[in-house]
Amino acid sequence: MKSYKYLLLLFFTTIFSITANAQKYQFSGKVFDAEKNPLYYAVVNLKGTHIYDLTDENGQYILEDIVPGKYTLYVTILGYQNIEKEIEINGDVVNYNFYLEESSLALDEVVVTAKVTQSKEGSTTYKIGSDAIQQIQPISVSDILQLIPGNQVGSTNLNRVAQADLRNAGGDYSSLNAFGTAVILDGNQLSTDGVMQSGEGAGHSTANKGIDLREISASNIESVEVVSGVPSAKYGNVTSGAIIINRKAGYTPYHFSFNSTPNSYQFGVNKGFKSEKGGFLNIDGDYTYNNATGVSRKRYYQRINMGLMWTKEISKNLEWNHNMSLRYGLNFDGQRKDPDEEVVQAKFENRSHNIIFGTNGSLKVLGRTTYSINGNYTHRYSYKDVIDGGPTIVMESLEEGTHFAGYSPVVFNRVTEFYGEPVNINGRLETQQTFKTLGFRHSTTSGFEFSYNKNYGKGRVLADSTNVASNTGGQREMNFYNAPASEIYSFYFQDDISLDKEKANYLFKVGLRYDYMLKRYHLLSPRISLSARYFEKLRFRLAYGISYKTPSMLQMYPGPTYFDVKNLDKSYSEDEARRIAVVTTYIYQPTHENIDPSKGTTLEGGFDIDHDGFNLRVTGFYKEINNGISSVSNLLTFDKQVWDTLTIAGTNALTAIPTDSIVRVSTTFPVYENSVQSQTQGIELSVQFPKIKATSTTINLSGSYLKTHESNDALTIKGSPNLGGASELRYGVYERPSYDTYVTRSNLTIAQHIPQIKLMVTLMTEINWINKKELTNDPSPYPFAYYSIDGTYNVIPEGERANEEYNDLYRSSEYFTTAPQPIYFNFHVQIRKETKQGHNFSFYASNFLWYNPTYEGKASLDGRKAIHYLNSKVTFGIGFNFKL
Amino acid sequence: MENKFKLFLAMTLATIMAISFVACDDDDEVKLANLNVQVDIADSFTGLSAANLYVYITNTSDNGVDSALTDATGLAAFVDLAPGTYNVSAEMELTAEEAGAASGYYEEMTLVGTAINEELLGGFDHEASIELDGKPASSLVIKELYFNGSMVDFIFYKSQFIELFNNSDDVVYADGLYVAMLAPQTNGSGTSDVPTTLDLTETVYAQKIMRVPGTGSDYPIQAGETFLIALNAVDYSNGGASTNVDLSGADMETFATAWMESLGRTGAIDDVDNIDVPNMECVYLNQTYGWYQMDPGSPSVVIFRNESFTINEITDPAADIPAEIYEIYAEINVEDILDGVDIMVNAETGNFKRLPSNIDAGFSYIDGYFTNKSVRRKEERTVSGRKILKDTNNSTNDLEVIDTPTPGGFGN
Repeated sequence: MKSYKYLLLLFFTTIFSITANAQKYQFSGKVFDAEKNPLYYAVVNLKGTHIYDLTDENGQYILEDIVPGKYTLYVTILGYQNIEKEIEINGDVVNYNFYLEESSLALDEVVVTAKVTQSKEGSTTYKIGSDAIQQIQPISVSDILQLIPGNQVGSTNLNRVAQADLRNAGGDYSSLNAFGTAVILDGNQLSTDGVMQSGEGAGHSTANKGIDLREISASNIESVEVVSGVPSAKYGNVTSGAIIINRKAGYTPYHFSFNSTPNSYQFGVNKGFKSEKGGFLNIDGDYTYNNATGVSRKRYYQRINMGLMWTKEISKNLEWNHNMSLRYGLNFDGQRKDPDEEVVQAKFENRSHNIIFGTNGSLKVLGRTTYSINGNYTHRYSYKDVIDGGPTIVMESLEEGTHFAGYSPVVFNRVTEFYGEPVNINGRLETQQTFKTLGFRHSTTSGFEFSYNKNYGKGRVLADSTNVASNTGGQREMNFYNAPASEIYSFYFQDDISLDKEKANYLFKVGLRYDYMLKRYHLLSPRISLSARYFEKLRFRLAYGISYKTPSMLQMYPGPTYFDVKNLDKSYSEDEARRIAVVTTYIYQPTHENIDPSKGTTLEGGFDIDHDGFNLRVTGFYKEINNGISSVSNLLTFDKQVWDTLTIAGTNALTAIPTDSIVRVSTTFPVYENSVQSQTQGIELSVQFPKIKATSTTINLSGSYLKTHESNDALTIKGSPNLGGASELRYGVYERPSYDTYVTRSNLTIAQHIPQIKLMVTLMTEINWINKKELTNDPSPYPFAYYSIDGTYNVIPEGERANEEYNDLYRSSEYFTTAPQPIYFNFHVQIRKETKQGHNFSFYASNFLWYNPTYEGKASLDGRKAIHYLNSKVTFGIGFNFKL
Repeated sequence: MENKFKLFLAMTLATIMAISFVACDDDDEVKLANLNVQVDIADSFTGLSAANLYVYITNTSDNGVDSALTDATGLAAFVDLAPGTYNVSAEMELTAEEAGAASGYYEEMTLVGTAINEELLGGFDHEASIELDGKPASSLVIKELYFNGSMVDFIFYKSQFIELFNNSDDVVYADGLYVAMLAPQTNGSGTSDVPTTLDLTETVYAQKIMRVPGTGSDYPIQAGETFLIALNAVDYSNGGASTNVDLSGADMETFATAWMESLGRTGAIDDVDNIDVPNMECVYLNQTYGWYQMDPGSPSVVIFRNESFTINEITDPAADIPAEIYEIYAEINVEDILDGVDIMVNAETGNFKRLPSNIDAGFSYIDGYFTNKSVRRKEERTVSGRKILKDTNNSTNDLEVIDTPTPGGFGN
């Protein structure tokens, strides 16, 4: 009921915003290239508003309905240097022309680091442009995120799932943090909510985790914007920031790229065609191969990405631009056979075909209306074939009850296949208006969004008769398509209110988002931010926001867990007539429908100083994730009825009959609970020193300090840690420890640019200041209760916990601490050279000084310390980029 | 000086003559007996001489004792013995080296031979013969440990076995015999492993103990025969790989699941209970989940007997820093141990030994895991078709690494 009030409020605000009116101006002109040829389809945009236009064949643009004030004008077109200009509009302006230069290392301004920007997408955002992307030769989006302050530069490893881990120092629940990071690809919010495959080979599953960023090719990306602060109200189903990826759209020549590192290579091609009737067709293709290193070097990864994108202006009058895209992706994880290996014990394969269809556009109706609808379909097949040794009891029945079962042969294969077909459909309808009242300029956005997740896969399928009877709880068949769809319906409204004074500019953003999740949660997420800028030099920022993330479908509908109790002891014989097994199967179906969405809260503040090419950005933040979902142990107890064998009269054969004897058996097994809380505090710093004009050298310092406190409210249930050799087991119930993890890192980037010979050399010094984990809640080594083996719960009075009779349950926390890392450095160098024709050659060397510091780990029981290596080995990569 | 000696001789002579005169008085009524004792040495000892041994005779009525040295042929002659019943005995003390050279049992040993109730009649010459023979302290030895496992058919450690051997010439009963896998688990293969601080002179420490069931005579092991204890009594060559062992004919198998469940714990999924093979009794297993699997890298195994064995536990004193999990071990008295072999992970890890040198002065090892190799006691000699295995209490010398395990025999 409450929610309807908000809806009404939202509705009236929208109506108000349409009707409000003030005097409005036009701003027009042309966009040319350096040779004064008109540029077609350049975007001319007033930043922070919905007002933009695309240039026509003559390079003409017209911006309309501009309320007076100060704006940042932004002109961009693929392949050319962007122009950003501060401008004050207090009347109609005509013939305001721009001359864009082709992107090239010959230009003076080349930015090779992530840039902190004021963006309408959220409070703290980093924009990574195409020059910065080219400089690091990324193969996937995860490589690009290395440019975010505080992130470590690593060599490309595509053989494991790569996830964003924004503003998090903690290690234990980092996939929970990544699960809450939205990844938006050309306006399409990707989702792992419907992924239900877990337990597949080699741990490549993204169930309950974030988007696998290695699947997104970097070869056709124009820019990446990372919102690490409070995202605008437009973004939902998120607790930990957003990554907004924009692919190239527009006219481009043929680009061929080739990148290679010692263990991977990548080919990419893309081209933007200009169609006769206006509009563009962009095509791209990418193939990547990566070989794992180290102990898992048999493994390899292959990726194919292909895309088509069609962009067209449908109506000039309505300024209706429409965009349609179709993408196909193949991701393959597998392993080769080692020539020395006669038989491979465990084979696996994970293959996913991914099809994305997206359409979006905007037109000048009700201010500006944008729409988008996207469909994502993935067919993910995983195969796991493990050769297992027998004889062991296998059973055909999947029913609960007592069954006669058989024995496997001495050697047999256990094949598990997973068929997952997660589907995500999301859509958005949004209107934007700009108006002025009482001297305040408003730029409002109201929208509706939905997201539908469902898995149509067959699920986990086991080959017949290889269900090994397991008394510790195991998983068998599970279908995915029976799990109900996960739907989210949302409304949002945001008003960006700006006030321009003589010496000061204020921007106040107020947003409210309403999400209706899982057909039972009405969730309100306010998002507020304030920025005040004085003398165009100093800016203060403050932002606060709440957001929610729905549980994954696997967390809500995990498959049944099977427990098999072997009723008969004497049951095997080499003589098949005497071989007989009796097994009682219990099926436990966890009901997790009461799992709540997790909640993210961010508060941040900061200041910026801009003076004569010196830029300083300092942001302090506090981020909280509550109700995080983790898997915790529960105890189950079963009856085991003891059976006995009987010889069938006159034969050698055996049969079995139940006896009166019953034994209680117990086991722990995992369930999902909303039990994790994490709080991260941090400071992010980015300093851009004035360019040394004489030598064309830029120096950039970025860094972050992060402290994450992680705790899990669930209790630990653990079988006697100090069990004697002939005594009864019991399960102690303990508090969990909680930790503070500290990570402080900084990168000093020195970019030496020589425009005359089109050469850029960057030298990056990564300084790892702090990396340590401290135990903050040292739980009592004594349990406060225990379960005896028949499942009864016994509270231990506080005074008795240290008594000798509970010695077996003593559990010290010494075990939990780790040794802090010392301060250490890592040095990287990247060189990019552009030829006259515009081809690029680049080279990088990570840890090029081959500096491999070590440190000693925590002393083990006997006082010995393990040696840890801090930097990876020196790695080289080369890249070519041809323009035809 | 000279005169004094002559006087002494004269007086002695006079005394002897006087005594002889008295003895000659009885001579007419009691005739004395003579006894020649031939000393031989049993066939299982070679290269030993019976010369220069004292042979003792004891009169059974007055316990009077006489002795004589054997000559080069082993003959000891007793003359003028009072008629009656005598027990005859001789002993030969052998050092460990002498015993080993003669028999293959490198243990200090006493060879003993007796002839009981020899009746000597006056006026006759009698002959008696005794055979010197001896037994080593331990007649049961560990013949083979197959712990390393096999990759073929992915059997891994499931086909492990411990095989005992009766090294004596007499039947031995396995009933009540304990078999233990020793602690601690650290063996030098981990970077943080350090040798245990446990004192290993009086007691050694076990992680797993099991016992042969029976009431005393249920499980005889004949001289020169083996006693096979399989982890699982299963024919692992059934998968098609003939290099894998057939343990279906084992004398005993281990099965811990039922016992573990009775203690609220969990048995191993691979623990198979063959209905046709008797099970070892479970005594001690310091795990929440597990079975009587041996460490595939460095198990050390002892066999011991103690009818009144009670489990005395200690926590690993090396763990003076409280750890989340500390090991608890059972103590075994060194003097109860019949035989033991120390297996280390490789040649360099000898300071991780778990046995004192009087049980095993050395150790054996197999490089790598799941190589299908086995550790077996060497053959010392064969006596009338019966193998005698080398037992110098030094695994370095006594054991050899063989390429394939040989349960139930010696592979030939």
